[in-house]
Amino acid sequence: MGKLLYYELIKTFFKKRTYIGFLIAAIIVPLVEVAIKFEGDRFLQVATRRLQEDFFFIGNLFNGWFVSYQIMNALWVHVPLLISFVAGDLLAGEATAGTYRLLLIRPVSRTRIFLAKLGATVLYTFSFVSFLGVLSVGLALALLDSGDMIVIENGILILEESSVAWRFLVAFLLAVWPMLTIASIALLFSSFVDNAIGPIVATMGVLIVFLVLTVLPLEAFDSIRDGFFTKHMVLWQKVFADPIPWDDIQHSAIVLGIYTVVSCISAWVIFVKRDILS
Amino acid sequence: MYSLTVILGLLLLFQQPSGEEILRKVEEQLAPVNDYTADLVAEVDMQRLRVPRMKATLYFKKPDKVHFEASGFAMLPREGFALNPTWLRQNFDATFAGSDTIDARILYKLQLAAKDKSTRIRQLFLWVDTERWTVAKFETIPYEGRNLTVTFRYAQQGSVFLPDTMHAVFGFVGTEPDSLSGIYQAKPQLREMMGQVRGGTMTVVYSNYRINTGLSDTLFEKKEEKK
Repeated sequence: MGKLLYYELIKTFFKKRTYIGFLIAAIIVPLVEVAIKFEGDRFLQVATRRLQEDFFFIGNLFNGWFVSYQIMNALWVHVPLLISFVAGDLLAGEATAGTYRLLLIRPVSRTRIFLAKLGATVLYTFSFVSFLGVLSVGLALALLDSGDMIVIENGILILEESSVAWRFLVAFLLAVWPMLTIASIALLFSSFVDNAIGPIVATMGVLIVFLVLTVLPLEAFDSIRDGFFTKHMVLWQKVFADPIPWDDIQHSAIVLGIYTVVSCISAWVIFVKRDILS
Repeated sequence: MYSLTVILGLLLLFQQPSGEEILRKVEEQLAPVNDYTADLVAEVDMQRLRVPRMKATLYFKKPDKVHFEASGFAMLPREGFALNPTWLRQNFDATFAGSDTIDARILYKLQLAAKDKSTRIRQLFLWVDTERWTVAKFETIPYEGRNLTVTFRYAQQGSVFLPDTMHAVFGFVGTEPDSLSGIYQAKPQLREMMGQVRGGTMTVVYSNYRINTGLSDTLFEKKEEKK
């Protein structure tokens, strides 16, 4: 199993498309953070304008933590596309390359091949989110220094600097979880088509539909909205609440987990039973 | 007790000094102080705002130089901090408005009207302790949708009384911000961007006063540069 995973990782990380996500992150994160540094704290000033009329603000709230949080907030809806580039290609890519049958005639069960591909997907997702986290936080702290963190969501929350670093660590670990859901959905679509473009487009289509249904304030969807995986994709944001709503995080993790497990099992069943003709 | 207060009030009324005289008395009480440094601990309890307990250092130098330093983030009320009677006397017309008692202390009540009508706070009431000549309380007439009431407790620092605790109550006039619905519920960040007024309280405790240490002007100039 270890060898299978190793070969899958080699196949995955030797493909140029694997690095598209890394390349985009390596361009967009520094670009945005440098631009924010030069533009200054206009957004922060606007958001705290009324408060600053009544209070002196002492200390640096426009710091690396604040900017990293904004980057996370801005990118969480785009990262799934980058994840689906790779996850959508794992099975369908074999068909496109004409290596499906070559792979499956070897004396290894389809289940083990599937598990190796799933393992490669998990490792890719984890490495990509880690890269994004290290890049955005590391660069933001280098550019804008550290300090207490301001969270502007349902009001204003100031988090003490001593409690911010571990919150980011937990937030990025939690951010892997919804990306695995996306990856498993892409893997599911990848299991029943022969072209890698289809799974990427289909995954993004599903994401967009669910996102629209989640954010539209329509009462018709109120009763079922909690079941949409997109409602729970921001579970990492909850780490920046005080106190941290661990029950909510657990609930979101379970809903996402159900999507992930159902997608993976479905992909596995399709892959195992599928008549490979290419 | 009530009749005693009325009698004392009447007595004070007959020998009442003018508003300006009262403010001068407050200035005189603070005359021995040229500068001071104090440690501050502030706690805030406001709508849609969560801030941990804050620590800062306050630097004050006559006539009106104020500078704050904090290792982390701190927010401190703009109004009432290092309340400067000279500034009040120069910028407001003070009128005697009666007498009052707070915590069994007899106080003069002044009505202050800003000389410059473009000033943010145009009118306020000020309560001055008739014995210590300290500002015990002030209350603003509603401005920009809010009103502010600040009460002070004092402790003797050498020959002068300086604030020991400041308690500010921020109220708002008009629509209750949290009752706003619709777009604010969908986009809660918008409410912050729209700058809705908050109600709440803030308590600041002063300690460890260092008086007349000869604070350098450069300490306050640095603050100007940062702005």
